[in-house]
Amino acid sequence: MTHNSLLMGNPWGANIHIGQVSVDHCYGYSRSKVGERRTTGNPPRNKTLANSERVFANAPRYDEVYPDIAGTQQTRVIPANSIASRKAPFMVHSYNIKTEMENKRGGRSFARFNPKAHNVDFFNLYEEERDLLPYQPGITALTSWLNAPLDESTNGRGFFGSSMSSQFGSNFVNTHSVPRQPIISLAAFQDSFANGFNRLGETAGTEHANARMPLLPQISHAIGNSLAPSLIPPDKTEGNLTKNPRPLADHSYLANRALWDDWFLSGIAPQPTPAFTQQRDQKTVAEEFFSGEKSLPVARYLPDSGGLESSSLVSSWFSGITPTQQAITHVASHLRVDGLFNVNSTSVEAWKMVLAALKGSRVVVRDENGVQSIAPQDSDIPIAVTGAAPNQITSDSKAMTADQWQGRRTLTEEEIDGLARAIVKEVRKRGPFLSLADFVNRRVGSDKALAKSGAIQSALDSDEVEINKKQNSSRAVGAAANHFFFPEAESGPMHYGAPSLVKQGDILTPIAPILSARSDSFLVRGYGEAKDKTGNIIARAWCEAVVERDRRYIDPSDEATVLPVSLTREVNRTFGRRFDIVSFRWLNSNEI
Amino acid sequence: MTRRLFAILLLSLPLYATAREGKLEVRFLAERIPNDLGPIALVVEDARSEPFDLPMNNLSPPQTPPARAFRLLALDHNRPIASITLPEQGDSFVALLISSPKGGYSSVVMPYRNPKFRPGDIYFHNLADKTVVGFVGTSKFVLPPEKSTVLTPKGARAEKFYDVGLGVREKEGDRVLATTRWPEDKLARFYVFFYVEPVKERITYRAVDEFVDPEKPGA
Repeated sequence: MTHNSLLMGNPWGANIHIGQVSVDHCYGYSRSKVGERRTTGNPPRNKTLANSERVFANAPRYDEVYPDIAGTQQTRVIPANSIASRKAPFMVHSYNIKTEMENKRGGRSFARFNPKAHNVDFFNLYEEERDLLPYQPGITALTSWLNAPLDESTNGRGFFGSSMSSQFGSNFVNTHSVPRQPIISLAAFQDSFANGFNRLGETAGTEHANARMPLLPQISHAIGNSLAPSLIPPDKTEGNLTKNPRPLADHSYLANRALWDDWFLSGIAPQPTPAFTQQRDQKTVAEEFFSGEKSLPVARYLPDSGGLESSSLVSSWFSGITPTQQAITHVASHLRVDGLFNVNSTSVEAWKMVLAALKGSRVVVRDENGVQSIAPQDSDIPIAVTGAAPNQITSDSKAMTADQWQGRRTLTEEEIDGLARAIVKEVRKRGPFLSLADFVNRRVGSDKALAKSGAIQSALDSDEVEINKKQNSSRAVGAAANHFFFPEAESGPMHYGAPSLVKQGDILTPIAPILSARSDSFLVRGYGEAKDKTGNIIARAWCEAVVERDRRYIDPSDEATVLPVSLTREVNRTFGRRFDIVSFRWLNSNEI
Repeated sequence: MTRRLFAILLLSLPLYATAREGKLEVRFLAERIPNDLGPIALVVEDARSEPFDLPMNNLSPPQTPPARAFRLLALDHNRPIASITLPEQGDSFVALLISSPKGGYSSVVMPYRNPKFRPGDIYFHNLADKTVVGFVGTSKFVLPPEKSTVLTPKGARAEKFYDVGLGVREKEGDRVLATTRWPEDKLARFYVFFYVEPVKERITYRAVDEFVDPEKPGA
């Protein structure tokens, strides 16, 4: 077995391997050129290994991968004259992505399958590596071409998803969306790469001295989701493999922490056709928004020019039609949100309203030729997908069916109600959340229930929520079926990422733009009383004010765009942003 | 390891034996065999053949039975596992041994040189409890339970393979068992057994190749 690589740049200088899969069966003994001894040419890499340093396929630890295939039960007689003019198979040496049915190790392999990160290297095939990677090599006896496990449809398409077989597999598997328009929700980045990179140092026998590889473990949907990596202890976000000191990272946790409280997507982005009926460049979108002519894709974002002329404000952010760095850092200070939702809310009704935000929305779908159209309005609440999914409503099901891998989900109001109740329970267990990342992420620590997944994912996986219940109960892998530090994190459906299985990121995608970990509007009530000399109350008064946090600091000497750590005035460091009284009234006693 | 296995297969086995004229002989193929079966012999009262291992992934070398009616004896267990009666006509046969629910095997005997089962043909035997349907290239078959048929595939693609579809007839309609491709091969006959896989209780199939000489032109 040798490497299959697509290389960019000088293969043995600074380079990037893309789409590489490697099993170093012979490592240490291959040559860069035919006829070249490994002690010549490129000395740092041409190291011939002693037998004690090499690995052999017949070592006992490879029994599962390379079992003996012999005997009448597995093999057959191949008469010599029968292969004089033709070939006859006796074995399949396979290297495949684990599926639900063809997964020798168990484990939630699809949660670690990133189709955009095919650069994988089996270093030693120890159990932790075979558990960790979503791929598996192996051999099986083959006694006839007719028995070859190579199903394909008449148009040459293979099968994947639940199985590589045509009986249970799917020709199409949609686990990630490619956005056709600028995205407006951080959670929509769940379909991005977000796997990190690992620049390897050279070690003896390693063929990837300068290769960049995805930082382990691979992850299918990092951002917006938060499943604990089972290879890392529950109270850690980084670690190492034990048999080979390759670094490990909790990609979700680290990416969410970096993103959710420092960044947002304004929606001030180019609007191309056909996603938008009228093509507009980025500057035009900004101008028409701040002048009040048109809204942004998140309609609850409102302009707040701070008394400045909108045209001059927008012009200060663009060089031609290209936004400047200042636009990136200043635009948030000129946006208001009509009704931010505080994730610390413990109101079931409030959560139901937020979660059902897409009710009545019509979603973009595509047919089998990729032609997009707007689907008729669903009777239930659609799950948001960034790209256009086939208009095939799939459901929570124990059975493995093709539509689960390519369709889309909708949720009933009863399911939304159950989810809202479960989220509120998680908020009570985990709250108050001090930041959005705190809400999105799992709670790193010794409490394994909180450390396993984020609040919404934990709610989705709770017994009282019906959304994924059949899949969670019948198609889940056990916690003990691996060799990980945090085995409880490994329990759950193997087919994580399939459209049939609703994830935290799916729930967050439509609501992320309006989420906050704090409230900016408060209802404040005051009470006063007057007493006579003897202490008797002779008058009472009640009042009520609605106050809103403003973009400005108390002392305007610090601009609204100044970061809290850079404030120059003590009053601003103490009290922060200014609160404005937006309404005030006296109350009657019967209103109390 | 795999290279060594291949070499052992090649070097330790006799060359493919062609049918010998005038001498009664039978080649055996078991649809499945128990792990502890051990060697077997063909017996008639006190007469018995040389012991041999019953194969399930290829036809056995030709065995010489003591008579046209004989029993298969599992020597390690001293237990008969099948009774076979060969046709009066012909002297070279293939005996397919099908697992019997009552224990042992039932047999399907066919002439070794069979004008209805020629090189490139596929013998289908349905051991499942439902009708199996399918196509190999443009040739189609419908096979009720416990039935067998020989299919001559036609309609190979230019790349020398057949599109293949296999299915199970259910009340709701035909359910896909497999869609795949099989090579066009005129140097083998094929035996395909449909059966219910005992662990997951699903209908599946298993194929066995029988390497044969190419047909002579005009044969």
